[in-house]
Amino acid sequence: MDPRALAWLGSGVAIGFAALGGAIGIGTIFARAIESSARQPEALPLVQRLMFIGFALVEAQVLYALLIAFMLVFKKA
Amino acid sequence: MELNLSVTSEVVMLWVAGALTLMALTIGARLVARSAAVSGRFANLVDAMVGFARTSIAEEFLGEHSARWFGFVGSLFFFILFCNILGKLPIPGFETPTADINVTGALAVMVFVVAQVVGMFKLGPIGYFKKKFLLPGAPMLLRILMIPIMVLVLLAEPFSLAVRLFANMFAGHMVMLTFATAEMVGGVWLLHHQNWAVKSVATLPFALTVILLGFEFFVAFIQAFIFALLSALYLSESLEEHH
Repeated sequence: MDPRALAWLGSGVAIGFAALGGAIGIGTIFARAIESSARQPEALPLVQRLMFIGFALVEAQVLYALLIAFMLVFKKA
Repeated sequence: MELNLSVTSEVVMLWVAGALTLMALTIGARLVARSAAVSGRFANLVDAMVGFARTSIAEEFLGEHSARWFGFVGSLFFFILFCNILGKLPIPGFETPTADINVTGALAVMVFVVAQVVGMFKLGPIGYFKKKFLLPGAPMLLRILMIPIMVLVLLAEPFSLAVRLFANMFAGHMVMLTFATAEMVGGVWLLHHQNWAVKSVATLPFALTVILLGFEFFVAFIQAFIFALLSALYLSESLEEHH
């Protein structure tokens, strides 16, 4: 099989699974944040702060995978 | 290797973003200061945005240091916001400077260096390295073994900061480009079809592009917010005396 084709296939698989994991993580974070701020509206600033840190940390993993995908797509030979 | 400092279109866009930030904030500040009661739409917008940056970024994360560091974090927020928005405006020749890894990398390295230098001034070089590289509350052997991992953790901060902003802006452009290409290739072809129902499908990529553009403005705001927020977080980690 052509190595370029394998690289493209790999980049698709990489970003697909990364998006799956990121979607689960971000969904959980926001669901819990909404839940807890509905239960305790006065805790909203703290919840919001932790929520954005968690969001950024989860998103970073997906973006590492995106970087790997780019590296695979633009791989020479 | 020679350092290439030629003025590219992205450098010009950075100048434009900087000039816009300076103009919007100074004019807004003048207007807000001149009349507290009636100040108009623009002054209200600037007032609300600065207030938002002050309360939910600076005061939230930096606490007692917020008054001193709000200038840095707030400028980062507004500059990145203008950078992100520039390429989304439908003006020919405008592009997003933050969709380039070099720009975001430079911003992240700047934040990283500022945070480390501030920490070193605060605790002294030895105390600072002790705080950053030695795992607190662990046996001595484990602490020494953990030093490489702590270095990696520290270096991951600016890396993720740069890659996050770059990837979000770049991916947004790619998605919009894909839909716009679908409109130009598939949509125009469908427009020549006899059937009206098939013809109406041709508007679908265009509608999606418009919706995505709105979403991209939201992403531009959120990413500027997160960049400034994480910068404030890293700064506050360096500014605090102990964990």
